[in-house]
Formats: sequence, C-alpha cells, structure tokens
Amino acid sequence: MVAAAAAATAANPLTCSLFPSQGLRGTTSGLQWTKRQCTRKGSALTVTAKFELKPPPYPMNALEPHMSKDTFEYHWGKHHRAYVNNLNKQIEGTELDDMSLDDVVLITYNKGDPLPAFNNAAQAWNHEFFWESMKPGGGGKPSGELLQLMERDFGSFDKFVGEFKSAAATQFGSGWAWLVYKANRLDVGNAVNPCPSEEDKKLVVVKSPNAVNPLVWDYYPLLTIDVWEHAYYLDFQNRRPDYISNFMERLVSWDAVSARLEVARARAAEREIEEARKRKEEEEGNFTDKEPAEIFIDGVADDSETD
Amino acid sequence: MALRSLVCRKSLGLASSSSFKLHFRGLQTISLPDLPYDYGALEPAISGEIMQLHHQKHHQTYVTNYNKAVEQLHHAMEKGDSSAVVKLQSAIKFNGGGHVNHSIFWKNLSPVSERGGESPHGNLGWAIDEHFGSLDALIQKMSTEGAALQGSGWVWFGLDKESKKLVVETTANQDPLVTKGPLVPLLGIDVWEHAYYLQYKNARPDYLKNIWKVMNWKYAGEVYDKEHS
Repeated sequence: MVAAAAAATAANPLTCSLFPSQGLRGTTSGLQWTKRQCTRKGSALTVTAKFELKPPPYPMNALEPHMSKDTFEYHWGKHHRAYVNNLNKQIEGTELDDMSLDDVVLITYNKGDPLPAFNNAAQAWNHEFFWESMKPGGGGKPSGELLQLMERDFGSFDKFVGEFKSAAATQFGSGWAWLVYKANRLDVGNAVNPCPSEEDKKLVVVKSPNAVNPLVWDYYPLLTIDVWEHAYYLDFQNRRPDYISNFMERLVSWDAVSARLEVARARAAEREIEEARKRKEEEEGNFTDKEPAEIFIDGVADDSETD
Repeated sequence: MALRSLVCRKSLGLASSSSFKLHFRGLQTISLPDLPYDYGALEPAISGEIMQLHHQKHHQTYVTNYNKAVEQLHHAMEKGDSSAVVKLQSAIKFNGGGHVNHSIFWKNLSPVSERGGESPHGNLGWAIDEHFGSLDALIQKMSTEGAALQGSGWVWFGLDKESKKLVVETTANQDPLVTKGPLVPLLGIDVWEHAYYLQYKNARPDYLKNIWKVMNWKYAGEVYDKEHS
C-alpha cells in the first residue's frame, strides 16, 4: 500500500525535486535551490495548497541490506508521512499556507522560540533531504571540488569522516548530524562582518537536536544523517555507531552532496552580489537624504539658540 | 533470566576492576542494578526483547559512560583544569541522568502477577483524586503529554516537596526530574523510541496506553508516603 502511494506520487508531473539526478551539474543558477519550493500541489479550483509527501528517489528495498525495507516503510511511510500530514493540518488557513517549506521552517523557528508548526515543518524538510542524501550503491569517496574543500577544511577526507561520525554518535537523544556549507555572512541588523573574505566560506560539521535544521543558522545543508532511534532501531537496535559507519561506507550519495555544494556556492555568490547592490543603494540613498536632514536640524537648532 | 544474570555478573566485573583504582582515590563507581523481575515478565505490554536490550545495552551504556566521565572529572579536578571540568558536565548529566531515570523506571513497573496495573490505594489514591479529579484523568494527562513530547525524553508523575502538590512534568533526553524543581519522582515513563520501537514502531500512543497495565502504583504510593509525611 505504501509502495502504491509512492508510485502514484512519483508519477505526478507537478512534483518537483530539489536535486534531480540529471541536468543539475554545470548549472549555476539559483533555480534548482528554489525548486524545493514547489513541492506542493495547487489546484485551480481550491485555494489551499498542501505539502506533499515526496517519495524517496529509489524503491523502498533499494538500500537493502544496509537499510531494510521494513525500516524504510516505517520511516518514510509512517514517520515522514505523519510530519507532512500534521504540518498541513497545522498551517491550513494560516498565513503559512502558501509559503515554501524553507520559508515555513525559517518563520516557525521564530528566532529560537519555535512556533507549534516548526517541528513538523523541519522534520518534513529533514527527511526529504535525508532520502536524497543516500542512493543504492552509495558510499566510497567524493571527488572534484567537494573533495578539495574537504581536504582544505578538515585536513583530509578521513578526518572529515571522523568528525561527521563523531557528531552523529555524540548527539544526545534524537537529532541529526550535518555537513554544511557556511558562507559566514554576519548580517545581524546592526552589525556587518568587518573583513569578509573567501576563507570564511567553508565546509563545517554540525549536529542539531530533534527537528532543528541548519537553515535556521543560515547554513547551506549538504548532507545529513538521521540519528533519531527510529532511523536505525529495527536494523541496528542500540548500535548507533554501526548504523553511522554503514551509512558513510555504503549509502551516502556523494553525487547529491556535490550537486548541493555547487548550488550552495552559486546561491552564496548571488546573495553576495545582491547584498552589495543593496548596500550601495542604501549608501547612495543615505547620502542624498543626509544633506537636507542636517541642514534642517542645524536650522532648528540655530533658531532655538537665537530665541 | 540466565542471560541476565550472566550479563549482570559481567557488568559487575567491569565495574569492580575499574573501581579498584577509583576506590584508591576515594571515588565510587556505579553499577547496573538488577531488574526486580524477568525480562519477559511485563509481556504483552512490553516485550522481553525490548526489556533485555533496554536494560543490558542502554542502561549499561549510561552506567559505563557515567563512570568514565566521573573518572575524567576526577583527573581534571586534581589538575585544576577548569575547562575540562566544565566540558564534562554534559556527559555527566546525560549518562548520570540515564542511570537515575532508568533505575526508577524499572522499579515503577511490575508484572501483572505481582499487582502491576493495580490502582493506587491509601494516601496517594486520595491525593490523585484531589489533584486530578480521578486516576483516569491523571493517566490521560500523562499519556497526552508523553505522546506530544518531541524527540527523546520522559514524562513524570511527581511530588513537589515544597508545595506538597502532585505534578505531571516532562523532561528532555535524560534530564532527571530534579532539573524541573524540588520534585520527587513517583513514576517515570521512558518515551525514548528505544523503550517501545521494536514492538510498537511509530505508535507511541499505543505504548502509552498499554504501559499502565504494568504500572507499579504500590511503589509510587510508598515513595509518596515517605516524602509527603
């Protein structure tokens, strides 16, 4: 029944994928990133749009024996499905109803004081990203720019693996471990990074509790592993370290991670250009506003003094 | 049962070899407490497989890692290495909390043949009616809060030692109830997925419905009488 539902959703041409396996490499526009925003189906007759439970990009048994079909059917068919369904119920008729999932995650995080829909929104996002982080016959070693950056930022691929495994193993309780691209923009309203440089942009390993997702820290997620017990308990019971090693050695889709890195770098570059443009506009705006304002204030001050 | 005692002996062996050095410096290690019933004794509410893994693997890991962290803490304090002392706090809280919580959990469950699931009598029974309206209302409240807890944690029935009021609280991960105030735990329910997943999968509410069939209210009543007077 779960498989039938998956097939039906897969056949729906309106469902977009974040990282389609073809056509992404070599493109640098931000379009692919925003494609996630259309994982909802609108109908001409109804106003409400719903987030969809997108099926994994491979059959339920495709990761066996490293991740069992049984685990998959519960994890995707029950847990992931419940997050999506509950999210749809929670946001129906609210202002969140027509936003992208990324935006719902960011808004409901509410600067660290999460609103009720945050857990479901972030978990819906995290799981979809997790399925796409794996592939049948995965594992091995990345290549190209991803490998170069890993060597630059962690010392070596093996050191990265060590750091990632350790983050996943030491996350107390439920949560996630991530490889992210950190473009380190300091835009806190009243502060700017005084000396931004290319060196600030790097790969970092982070872990997050429960549903929290690095988008809320303004990072670009590249890879994730789910370390909630439901992700591995049927296959590995309490042996979380074995599950993590197995994931790294047999399941990671480095193609997906490389493609995400490419998009992240392009997005970060676009954003920088956009921010520079805005800054320039503001400076020019300030300059033209400033002169008359000063004259006016001085004028008032002079008047009061003479009075 | 035989397997359990085998593992218990093994764990005691581990604890005693490391406690030899530690005792020398006046440090006391903790060890895995025995269960007061067989692994399969809570079936069908909780399977023997779950109980065995939960006790022998999960609880044992908290014990082992707590002892390790406390030993490291001892070294760090001897050296006056304050940043190392601070860094160890999270491991101590997590693993120590895991030991404290599970030690209570085993005691507040009981096989049906040993009066598990039997409603509380005496002072606690009266107090529950007074605070919650009825036992069913308390059970409903704990089940709802346990089901709604995000991620891993515990739902507690406790006594506020200062106000003498009965409370329902939740704690995240392995935080013990004392982190929420001057509260004495009367009952704790583990809602980590490892406590139910092999049997109930994603259906945490079903686990929370069935666990009351093996709840040891007698234990809760004894703690209440001791702390309330």
